[in-house]
Amino acid sequence: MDEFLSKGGKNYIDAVAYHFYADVSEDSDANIRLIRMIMDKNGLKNKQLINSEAGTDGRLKGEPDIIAAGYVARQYIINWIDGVSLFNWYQWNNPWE
Amino acid sequence: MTPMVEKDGVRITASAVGYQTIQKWLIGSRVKSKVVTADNNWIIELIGSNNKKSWILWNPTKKVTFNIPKKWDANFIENILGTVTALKESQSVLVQAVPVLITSENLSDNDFKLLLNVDNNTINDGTSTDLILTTMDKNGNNLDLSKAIISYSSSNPLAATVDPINGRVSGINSGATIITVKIEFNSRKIKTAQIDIIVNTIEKLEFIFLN
Repeated sequence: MDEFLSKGGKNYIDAVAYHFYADVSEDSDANIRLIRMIMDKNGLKNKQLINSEAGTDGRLKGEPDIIAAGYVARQYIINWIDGVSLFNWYQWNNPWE
Repeated sequence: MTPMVEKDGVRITASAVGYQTIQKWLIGSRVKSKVVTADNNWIIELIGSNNKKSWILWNPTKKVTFNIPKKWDANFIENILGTVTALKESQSVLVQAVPVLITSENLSDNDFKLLLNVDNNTINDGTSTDLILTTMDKNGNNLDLSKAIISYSSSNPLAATVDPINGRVSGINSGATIITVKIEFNSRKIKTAQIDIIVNTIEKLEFIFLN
């Protein structure tokens, strides 16, 4: 992404969309800040960063529902505090199998 | 991936309830600080409207007994499903992978905390559900509401109506509504609380018997 932006791509975008998947919700924190750092370096400090797709496997790993709820909450909290403008949860009715 | 609805596509999962809960925690607040301790406790301090302070706590890797700093002046804890309880005098909580919200609410003698919950925010048309009303004074004690004036209203009666006295919600048509409860009693402040209700329409099968 850094190469794309630095070679002129930054002049043709309105926002940066990224899929911040993470096995552990907290890994998103470092990943979001890394992408934001690349954006800042390329003069895109004021452009929106969008998490256009992310989710976790909490429920499918056989963990209790409440743990899955914790994953969802942690993902949203981390995206929110890191200034992500929009976060699409993948997904509403994802197949269980 | 973690679905928000069960296989039937209608009943919501605990994850969806958690999503609703953190919306309430975050919207209208701003982050004052984010701290990750040596124990890997994540502590997010929020400043809400009226400068109300709150803290979201969790630990992604282990269960840790966390002693709440006295300076927080905390008195309530809310879990991810929206259940609020008063903090005990010991002021220690078990922090684990599921975030909790610690709040410091400086309630006066005539003030109280009002919460409106429901087991499932989604109902089908033609069905009803009861709301769960919780009140707590500044010490976390439930209030005697026998002499209170309690009234419920629905913002969209085309989707769902609500009994103005007992708060029973009935699904009418597909859509969404906000149910508001208002409580007045004794010399205490008048308080309101709201909850979203979504109504789904169940397709009705029609059988035609041919001879």
